[in-house]
Amino acid sequence: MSESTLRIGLILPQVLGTYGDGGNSAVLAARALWRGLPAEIITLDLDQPLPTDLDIYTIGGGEDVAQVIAVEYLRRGDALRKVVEAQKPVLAICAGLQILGHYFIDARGEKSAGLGLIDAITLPQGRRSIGELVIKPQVIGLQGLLTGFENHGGATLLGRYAKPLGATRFGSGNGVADLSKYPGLAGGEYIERDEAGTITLVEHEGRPFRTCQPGADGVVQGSVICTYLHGPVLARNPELADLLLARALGRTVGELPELQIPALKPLPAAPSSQTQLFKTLTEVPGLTQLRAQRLAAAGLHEEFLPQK
Amino acid sequence: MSENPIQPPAPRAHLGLRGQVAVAAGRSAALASRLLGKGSGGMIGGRVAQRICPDILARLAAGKNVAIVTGTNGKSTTTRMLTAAIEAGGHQVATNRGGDNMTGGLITALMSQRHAPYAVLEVDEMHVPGAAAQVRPRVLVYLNLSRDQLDRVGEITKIEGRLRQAVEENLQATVVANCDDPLVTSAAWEAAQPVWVAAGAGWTGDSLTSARTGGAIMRRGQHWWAAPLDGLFGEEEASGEMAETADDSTEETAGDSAQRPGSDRPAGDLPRGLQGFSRPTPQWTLALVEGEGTAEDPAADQDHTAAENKPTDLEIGTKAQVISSKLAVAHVPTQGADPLGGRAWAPGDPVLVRQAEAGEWTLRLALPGRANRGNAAQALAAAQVLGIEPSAAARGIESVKEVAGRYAMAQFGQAQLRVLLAKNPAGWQESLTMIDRQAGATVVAVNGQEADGVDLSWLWDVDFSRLSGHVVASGERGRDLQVRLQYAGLNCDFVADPLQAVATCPPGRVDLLANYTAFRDIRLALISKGVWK
Repeated sequence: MSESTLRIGLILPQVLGTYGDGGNSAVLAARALWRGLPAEIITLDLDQPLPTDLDIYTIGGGEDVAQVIAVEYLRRGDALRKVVEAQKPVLAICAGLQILGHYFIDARGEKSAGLGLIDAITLPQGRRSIGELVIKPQVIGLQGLLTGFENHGGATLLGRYAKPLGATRFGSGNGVADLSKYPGLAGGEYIERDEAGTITLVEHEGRPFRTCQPGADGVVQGSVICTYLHGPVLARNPELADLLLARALGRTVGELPELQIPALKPLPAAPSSQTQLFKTLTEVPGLTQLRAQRLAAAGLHEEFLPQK
Repeated sequence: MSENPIQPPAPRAHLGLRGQVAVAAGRSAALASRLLGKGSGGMIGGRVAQRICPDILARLAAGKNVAIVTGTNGKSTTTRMLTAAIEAGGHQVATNRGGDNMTGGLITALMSQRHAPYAVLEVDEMHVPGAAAQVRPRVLVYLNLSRDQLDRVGEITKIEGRLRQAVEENLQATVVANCDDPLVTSAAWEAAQPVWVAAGAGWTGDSLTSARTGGAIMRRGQHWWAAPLDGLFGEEEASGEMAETADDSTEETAGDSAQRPGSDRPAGDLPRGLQGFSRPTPQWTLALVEGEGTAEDPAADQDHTAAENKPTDLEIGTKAQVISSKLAVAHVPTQGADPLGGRAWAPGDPVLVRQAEAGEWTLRLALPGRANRGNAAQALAAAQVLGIEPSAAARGIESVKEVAGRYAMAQFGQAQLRVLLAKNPAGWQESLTMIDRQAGATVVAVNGQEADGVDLSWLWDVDFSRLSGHVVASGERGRDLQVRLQYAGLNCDFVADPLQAVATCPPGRVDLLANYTAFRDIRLALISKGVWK
């Protein structure tokens, strides 16, 4: 962390900003500021090189062409690799996840090189997964369900060095590759079919990637956390936001100061312009109800409630 | 309806027997639907007619001068403006007022004004090629494209492709296109007869990559151009040069070459025909009016001062778009290089609409908002293509005071209530320039039904910092909004029902901003309570 201000890098919101994921950086900044910790968002655009000395980075979702532009940008000077090697937390969503892998193939069957920072490849699902996505995280320090919205045509296959972020309870998460619509897609790579004709393995650099890891979402590898959860994910899941914040600050979640959110409290029987009085909240009002609503939309409910 | 004596003879479309039966059945169905209270009859009548006579739309449109209006935002408003412009020119117009903008609604519109020589049709973006193939429009009006219900319709490039297809298949049509929108420009790029209008872009978040060229859209001031991917980051010098020349943004001639200001690189590997894909020189522009003040808006003061004493061409002298690189809590959404600086435009604020050769007209729109100035310019341009004298057309456009209840002020309980509709991020950004800062309270209502798009993540791309005072989050997805506004540093209440939320506001002016189905329900409720007609 540089001096006393937490610096949050928002990577290419103009390019990978199609799905509101820029909100993740806003949530991180707000949850730091509400703890009395100075924070700022550094918006990183195409016309400036990626600084490697920020404390945490967020990457959002976007469309196919945008992904290629983002790879070109992030490859420049090996900047993002340096960030990852320095163990800085990186949160990447959807298209952001896909570009961090070895390669990704879009719905037209076009293959693009990724950054190779996570051990994953992305192939087409042959359809889009659109809807609520709920996962049970498999990361130490996260206990509640993670809720969000997925909207992607890619299936992400993990190699042995990458672990999923969680197990899906609703929705498709990393999805299942279906290459039947893409004859010749695999090129020179080795593809094995099982009896049902389903492709089970795709080889990349001599290593197998299963085309289907049912019930998994996202990628965790080193300091990188990826997911297909939009929403934005940190707006809906404060537990994950605080975990990332703690890591960026080099602390544990337990060491974070309590949130103190200034809020206005209506005074009974006073005209509106004078109806308000400061009070302090320890969580964002409406968030509990928002989570309950979104989990209910997936037929689920909270399984773990933090003790306050 | 009285016949206007100076009106040209109404075309006799040859419906044929089948067509006549279809029209009769369709009209009966529409009437039945209205009488049964099932709806406005806007869609069902057309559907019935189409079932009987599949090419009824083509038969009804034959011989008419048809304009198709499409785009993500402003379709209904621009359709109303263009209709009013043609009517002010003394002609009858068939038009789909109810916003039923798919085939059924188009058929119903043409059936209800069988002998009108003109038709102005609002058409859903995805349905433009199909509708145009039938009605053979004389004018295609392309307003803007941005994401709208991503989870339902798919990616925006698909829509751009549909609009491009309609251009390619309708060489008879003049395309009146917003050249400030790269996606619209891309769709209209190959038009035989383009009329470029600098209608402005309040939102650039969805056109940062170039759908056509596979590269990036680069911007400086109002200008934009497509840069190929190769070499985008190759020369470290390039960005520095860009910054140096960023202050003297001037109008460039379209297609002068592949070389764009600030870029001495050739267009490289851009596909043939797209080299030099950049903002065309507009024939129509908007400008501020000399000596006319507009609504006070502290947020726009800096941009104001320069424009005080002389007519300022909005095309010239604009500052390069500066994306703030250091922010605290607020996440800055992607806004266009709008020389109006996102200032508020109140009803009655005058704006100059200029046509390079024909002259200029002062418009005092009864509608608020920057986007409606752009819509008016496109309506005026389209009217001119259709042979309407611009000063008459301008008076017609000014006469539009509300669009399906939107913008109009009504007394509701103790509230002086105005309802605004915003369907997507770009629409929200524009609508927030319409919020009355004098209003004591703002209710924001958001639903997430299929027609709205069930993914509300985009709420995080909207800059809600214009909101102040008493704010209430409302609607079926009001909790998403409440959390969003809290993170934007706005304290807000939550009341699930929008009109109940209005009732909790202090007496006086209340602006109610709603997305699609929330607006629809509010409208029906206000009609049933007798507040709206």
